[in-house]
Amino acid sequence: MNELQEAIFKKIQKAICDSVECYPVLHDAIRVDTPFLDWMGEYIGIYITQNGRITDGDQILNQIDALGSFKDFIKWDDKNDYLYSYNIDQSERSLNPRYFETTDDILRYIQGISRLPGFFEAKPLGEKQDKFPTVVRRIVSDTLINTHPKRPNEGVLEWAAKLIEPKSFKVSNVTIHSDLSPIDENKIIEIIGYQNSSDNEKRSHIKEKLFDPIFCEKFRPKTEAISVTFSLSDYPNDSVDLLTSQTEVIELKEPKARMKLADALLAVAV
Amino acid sequence: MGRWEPPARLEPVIYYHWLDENPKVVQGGELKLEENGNPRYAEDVKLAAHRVLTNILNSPHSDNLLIYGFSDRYSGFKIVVKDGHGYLLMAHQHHLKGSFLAEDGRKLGDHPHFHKINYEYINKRNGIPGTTRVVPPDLHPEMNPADLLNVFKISYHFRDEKLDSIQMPVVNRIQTGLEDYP
Repeated sequence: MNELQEAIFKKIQKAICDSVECYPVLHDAIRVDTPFLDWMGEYIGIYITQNGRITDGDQILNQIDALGSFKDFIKWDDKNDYLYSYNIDQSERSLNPRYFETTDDILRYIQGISRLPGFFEAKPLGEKQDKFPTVVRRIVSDTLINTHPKRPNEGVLEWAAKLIEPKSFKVSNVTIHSDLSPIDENKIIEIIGYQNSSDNEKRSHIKEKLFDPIFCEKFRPKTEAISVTFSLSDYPNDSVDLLTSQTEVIELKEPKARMKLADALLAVAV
Repeated sequence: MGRWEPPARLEPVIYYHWLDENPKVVQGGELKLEENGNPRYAEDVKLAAHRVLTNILNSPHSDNLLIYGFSDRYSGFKIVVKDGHGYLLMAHQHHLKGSFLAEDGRKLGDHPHFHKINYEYINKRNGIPGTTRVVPPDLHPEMNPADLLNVFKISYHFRDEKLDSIQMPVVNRIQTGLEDYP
C-alpha cells in the first residue's frame, strides 16, 4: 500500500466508523445507528439493552407486518437458512444475533436484518383487484400452446384463447359462471384467488365461488367442479375443507398442475 | 429517532402542491391502528399499509405511494408516507437523540413531531434536501400512537372514507356527494 492508497483507505475507514454512533433510547437501552439502509430507505439501527442483550427491538418484523408481508415471512421456504446464515435468532418479533464473539458475527447480523425486508413485496390494503385469474389464464394458455400433446397444428392461439375465456350458461333461469371454458359442458372451473386478503375475505370469496357449482349440481347431477388455487395452505382450514369436499382442487404449486389443468379443459366425459 | 432519511425525489413545487392536496384519499378502508398479532409492550401497534391516491404526483411517485406505521420497542411508533424511493412525510412519537429545532423555532427534546422535506436546505455536494420537523399545537409529549395518527391525518388532509360521486340533483331528493368536497 502506498501513501495515497493508505490515505484514501483511512478516509473510507473513518467515514464508516464515524457513521456508527449511539445514543440512549427508551427502557434504558442504547441505539446504535449503522450506515446500512433497508430496501425502504430506512436506516438500520440495533439496540443494546440494559443487561447487554443485542436486539433489533422488533423493528424489522413489525415493519414487514405493517407492509402486509408477515405471512410471507412466516411461510418463507428459505427462512431458517437465511436466519442461520446471517447469525440471526428470531424470538417472537425480535431478531437477535445468535453469536456475538467475532467481528464477522455482528456484521453478518446487521447485514442480515438490513437485507431481510427486501425479500418481501409490500401488500398495501386497497389493492382489491385479484390478479390471480389473469396469472392462471396465462399459465394454462402457455401450456396449451407450447406443450400440450393435443394442441392443433393450425389455429393454436385461437384454440387456446377459447378455452381460457370465462363462460356463462343458464341453469333453471340462474346464470352459472365458470372462470375457464372446458370442452366438457358438465365441468365448471373456478379460480380461487385473493391469497393476500384477510381470512374473512378469503372465506367470503370461496363461498361465493362455490355457489355456482353447488347450485348447478342440484339440477345437473353430472356437474363436475374443479377449483384452481396456488396453494391450499393460503386459506383458512374451514375454507379448505369446503373446497376439497365440493370440488376437485388443482394446486398450481404442484409440478404437474399446469398439465393437469390443461387436461381438465380438454377432457370429455365418456 | 434515526438520523438523515432519504427523501422522495420530487420537484419542490410539486411537493408543496401535494402537501396541500386536500383530500389525500386513502384506499383500503379506515386508517386505524391495530394491535400486532401478539402484543409484547404497551404501544406495540401497527398501521397497516394503505395506498394513497393523488392527483398531483405523477408516475412513478403516484404508483407506489403508501402510508404505514410500525412500532419499535425502544424508539416508539413511527408513521411513514413513502413513494418507493424516499419519504414524503413522517411522524415520530419520540425524538431520542438530543434536542431538535422545530419549524416554529422552538427547541424541543423528546417530543412527537412530523417530518417534511425541506428544500430551503440543500446539501451542496449531493443536492439532497434536508428535513423540517413540524410540531403542530396538538402534538404533546406522552401522546399515544393513535392520537399521533389522528393529528397527522388532520394536518395533512388524509381521508380514508369512501368518496361517493356527486349525484345530480333530482326533484324531491337531496343531492349527495357534495359533503365529501368541503
